[in-house]
Amino acid sequence: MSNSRQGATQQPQPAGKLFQFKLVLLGESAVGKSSLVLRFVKDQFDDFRESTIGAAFLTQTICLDDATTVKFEIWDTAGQERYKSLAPMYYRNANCAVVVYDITQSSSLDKAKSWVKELQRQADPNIVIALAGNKSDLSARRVVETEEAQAYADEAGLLFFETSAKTATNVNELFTSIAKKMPLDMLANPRPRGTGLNARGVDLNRDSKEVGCAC
Amino acid sequence: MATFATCPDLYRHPSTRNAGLAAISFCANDNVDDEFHGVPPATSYIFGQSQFLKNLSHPNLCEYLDIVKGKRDRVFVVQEHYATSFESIRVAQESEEKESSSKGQDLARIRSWATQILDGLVYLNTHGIVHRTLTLANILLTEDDVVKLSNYGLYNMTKGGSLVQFSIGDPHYLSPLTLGQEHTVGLQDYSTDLWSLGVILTEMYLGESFWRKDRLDVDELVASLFSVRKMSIESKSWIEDCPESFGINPVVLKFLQTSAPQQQNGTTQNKDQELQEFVAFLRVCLKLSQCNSLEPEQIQGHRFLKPNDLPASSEDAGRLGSQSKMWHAKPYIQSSFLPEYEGEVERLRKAISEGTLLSDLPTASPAKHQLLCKLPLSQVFYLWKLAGGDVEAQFRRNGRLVGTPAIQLLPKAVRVAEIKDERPPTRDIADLFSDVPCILTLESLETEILKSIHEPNKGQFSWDTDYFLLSDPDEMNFLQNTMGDDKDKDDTFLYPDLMRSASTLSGVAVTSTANAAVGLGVPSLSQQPVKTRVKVPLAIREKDLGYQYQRLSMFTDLLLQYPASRAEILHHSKIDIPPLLRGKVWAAVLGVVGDYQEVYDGFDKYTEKPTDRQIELDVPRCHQYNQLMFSPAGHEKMKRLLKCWVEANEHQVYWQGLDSCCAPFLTLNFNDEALAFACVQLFLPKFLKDMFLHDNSQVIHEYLAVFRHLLSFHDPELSSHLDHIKFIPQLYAISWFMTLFTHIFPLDKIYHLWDKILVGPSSLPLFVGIAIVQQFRQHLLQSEFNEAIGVFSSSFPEMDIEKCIEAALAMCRVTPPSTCWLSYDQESREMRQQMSTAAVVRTSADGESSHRHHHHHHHGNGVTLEQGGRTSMDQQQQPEQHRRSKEIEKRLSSGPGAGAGGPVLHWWEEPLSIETMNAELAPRIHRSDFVRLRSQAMVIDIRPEAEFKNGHYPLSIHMVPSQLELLVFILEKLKKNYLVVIANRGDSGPEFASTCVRFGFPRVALLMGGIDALRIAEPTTTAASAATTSTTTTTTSGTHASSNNGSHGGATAATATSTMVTICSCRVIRQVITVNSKVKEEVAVLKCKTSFTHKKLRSTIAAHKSD
Repeated sequence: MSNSRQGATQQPQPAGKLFQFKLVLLGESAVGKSSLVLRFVKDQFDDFRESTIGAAFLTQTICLDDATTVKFEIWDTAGQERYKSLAPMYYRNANCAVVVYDITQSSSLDKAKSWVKELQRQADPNIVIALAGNKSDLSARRVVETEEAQAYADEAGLLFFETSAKTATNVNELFTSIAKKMPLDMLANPRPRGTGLNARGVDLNRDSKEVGCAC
Repeated sequence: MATFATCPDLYRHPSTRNAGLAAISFCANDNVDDEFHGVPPATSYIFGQSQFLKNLSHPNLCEYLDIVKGKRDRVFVVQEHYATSFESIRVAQESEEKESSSKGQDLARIRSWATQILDGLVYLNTHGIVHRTLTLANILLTEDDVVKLSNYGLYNMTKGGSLVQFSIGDPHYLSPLTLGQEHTVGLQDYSTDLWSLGVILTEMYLGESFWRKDRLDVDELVASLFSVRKMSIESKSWIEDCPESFGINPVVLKFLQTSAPQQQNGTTQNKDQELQEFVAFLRVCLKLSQCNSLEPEQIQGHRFLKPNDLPASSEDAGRLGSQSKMWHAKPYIQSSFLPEYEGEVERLRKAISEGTLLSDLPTASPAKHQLLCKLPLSQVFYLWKLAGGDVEAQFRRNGRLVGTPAIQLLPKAVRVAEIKDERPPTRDIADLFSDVPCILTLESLETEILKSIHEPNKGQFSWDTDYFLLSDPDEMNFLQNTMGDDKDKDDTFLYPDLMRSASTLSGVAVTSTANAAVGLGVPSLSQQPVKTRVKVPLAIREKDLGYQYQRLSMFTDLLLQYPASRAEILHHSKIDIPPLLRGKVWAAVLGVVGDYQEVYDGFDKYTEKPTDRQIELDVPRCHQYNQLMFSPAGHEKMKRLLKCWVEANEHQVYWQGLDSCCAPFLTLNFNDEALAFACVQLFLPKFLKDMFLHDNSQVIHEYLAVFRHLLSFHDPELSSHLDHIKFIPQLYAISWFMTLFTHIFPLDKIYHLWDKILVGPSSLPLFVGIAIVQQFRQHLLQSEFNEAIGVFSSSFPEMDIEKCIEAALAMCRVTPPSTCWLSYDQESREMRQQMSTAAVVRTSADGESSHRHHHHHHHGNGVTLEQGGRTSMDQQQQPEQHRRSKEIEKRLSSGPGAGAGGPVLHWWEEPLSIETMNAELAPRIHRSDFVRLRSQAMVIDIRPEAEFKNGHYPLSIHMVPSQLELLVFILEKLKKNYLVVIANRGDSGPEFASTCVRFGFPRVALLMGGIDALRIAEPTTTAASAATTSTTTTTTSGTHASSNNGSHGGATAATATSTMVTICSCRVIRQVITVNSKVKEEVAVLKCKTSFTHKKLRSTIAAHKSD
């Protein structure tokens, strides 16, 4: 589907820039994708978070500096393998991705690797990918060593953090470094935020990643 | 066989005539700060573990009614209760002793008690329960001297006492072998209760306490118990060798010791022999042997218990016990057992009207007694709560929460070594357990029920209508089935069932004839809607004592007679369902029949499977705010249920979300997994057909496409806005429909939502989805993509479920069923074929419901005579199902018209591809529905003008698609309820219909097959008579004469008419006659107002040239 309505007219910008990025979370079931988002967006944690079906959508804005604000549109996907066929709908046109595994489940790292492969093959070639080893609070049950995951992340060119949604360890750091790694300067033609027709769906062929505005 | 006739919660055992209610309370370990993730609090374990106690039913056991979690790890256990107990008898005895010399009870009574206690214990043992706390206080007696054991679940529900910090069992009656016993052993040591029985019977017979009265100190008692244990290990008959220093009451010891030698004398009278047998019996009970312990079942046949003259009471109890088994064994006409509520209520009503009841309370009390005494105890307790009863408050009022001194209880000082018990006890141990039952008074309950029933405003509760048959006189109601042939069919679900249930009601019986009138396009007066709406909101109805009493009584009666009473249950369920009986009512509505337990047992739930891992991950996250779902027992049950489902449905797979779908059934039937499973097996095929196929993407995408079309149909403005901002259902609604909303709403809301969904047509969830979207209409209309999706993100907003349901039903009623057809849905497919051939051939309801049995024959002799008939059907069903799922995949992936459907389908009846559906905004409507709504529809024909002139549907308006914008104003003036577009195959019909939606026209649909579909004459009306033709001609000519200008059509009246004859049925023509005067007016008005467009407006009437 093309988006002919997009592209609002250029207007002078008062101050600062708002960048909007579409971020998708991928990873095996029950590794804590939704919990990471919940911690990041609402600073909450729920021991018994319901499994995600289809996908869930949330947004969160962070300020990088006085002049730059980044708004993440976060697509939190279902982890069960069967829902995989839906995933392209969500990662298509994503600017960044967080691939999550569980440090207490070695199989979840394998699954994360396969997601990374798929993203590198199918998604936007400029996508920024971060690898997150979640549940770092359960160090007693750790089976995936930090070095192992770090080595893989380096090799595949991914950002890497060990996080804990439960204790909030490294959660903000994860998203902030993604924001910093986005090629903000290279994004051409900053545009002001459209007033009426700045519509975007997940499967739009958006050509701009940046919408300037007052913030 | 009446499916629910044997359910203990629907039936009040005669022996419980004078039962009261009482509660005990205790505190569980407060291990909430446990570091190990996933270890549930003790209260949770207790709560889940104790649920099954509610299902136990035996004449010699007090029924467990509820287990309530209170604040701070406190648990309240509500049980059936009687004022008389062994303890109260002993107390009375002791006070009498001072005056008379009579001590103890006579042997016949003891024997009767012993028999009944053993019956109760054996029943408990077969259910894996050790009583462990059998004491004088826990053996209650009814007025008829029937024994009722109480508190028998305490040891079991606390995992052998390991979950509480107090000890369970009174050491005076506790077997010495239990000292220091691990709970894992104790939970299965059925022999320990026999010691207690021996001690208790000895005391009751002798009127003396077993242990010496001057040695009640706990330390000494424990020391004595240890001595006895030591001795029993060393000596085979410790009783013979027991020294007095052991602390056993000398009288007791003498009795037990000296009676024995007498046995050898041989010269005994009858009475002495009985006594000897009793002593022998006691010695068996008190025999301690760790290697060879007897269990209650093994001593049931003891000589002492089998004299020639059995006391009446035990015989009675025995008879009742065996009778309860017979219920399961054979068909049973339950009605003979039914309490006469009606007569009772009538009598009391009379008493009230005469003022005798309220003015003269003493005479009222037996009346109340009558009212409550036949109600199952669970219902009595439920009504008690509705009347404002609160167990915790009752405890507080009685000062019971302060605590009973536990000084006499065995100190629990065993585990200091292994557990960090450094911390001081968090609370005084004394308040951990209140063993004295707190009586829940029922004194005023019956009066309150009666008062509530006869409150003056109760008229507002009265209800004589069918929720689904409510309608506006100016509106269609597609839920009223016009196919009269269906009447005598045994349809499973409500949609076809409506006519039958309607005809049983005097109030709505007229609707069937009213329908015919609608068919003729006559706005009928006879179809006056039964406007009796729900005057009182559901929330109030559910809390109203009198109303709930009446609903409970009625549904109890109906359930006992199910399945014979199914039609009535369906009818009453449409109004509302009493929460207490919801689980069974749902099962009845779904049509669960037969031995569902056997079916459930036939599936392997224990072999490891690849899906286990996912299930293990999901179950501990599924509806965990719910206490049942949170409890370990709940997790176990859910896993079994899901594994069973995977095993039973080999063509489907476990998808995340299935757990949520099962949760309502499991929580409602927590003690009956088999029933929950049977419900799931009937529920999913109806509402989530094929949603759990291995590759379900076609199924789900089609469902969402239909949802999008229906949203356009009912809310074009919102739909086109959402379409415009690309807010497609795939992004937010998958979890709604895959779980039928269980993923987005908490269970208490789901119960109410499903109450209605279950009795509705399978398309109802789609309309619920629309109603949900519409609750945020204003917000969404002003939203861009991000804000819009934020509305439905992680935490779902609060919403009024009742409003949602009403809105959904209102939309469902006016929606032509063909717009909701799903190609994977068998019902839809059948309807297609049926309408296509106009032949009413439907798969019988039995065929549908046999799905759930379709694996049963794998399990050998599991198939009994009862199901023999089913088996053959199942064998056909299975390959059929497999073939079908393949076919669906094939058909869905192919383009329009390329399907491999049966020869009966016309090209336009083939399912559309998902891509086609997603490209269109408006739904398509089948000719058969079009015929029904034609009188309310504006029909726009967009074929080329020449073709239109050559023949068209009467009253249709010709229009060139590009001119729509110009004509919107006029079309709106017509104020028709529906807009149907007729186009040629492959023409721009879909685009035109979509444009109409964007212009804001509600209920726009494209006619499937366009003019081709209309050319198929209805079989019954093909022979349109010449007379009718001529009438039509004259009528249309006459019309034209009156609206005399602007007609530029080239076709002659003769040509047009002859085409019409082939197109139209007699009924259509008659309709032309009926409504043409109205159209005349409309056309005249339009012409006045918009003279510049009149050339483009071509109605049927204007299409004829005037000569």
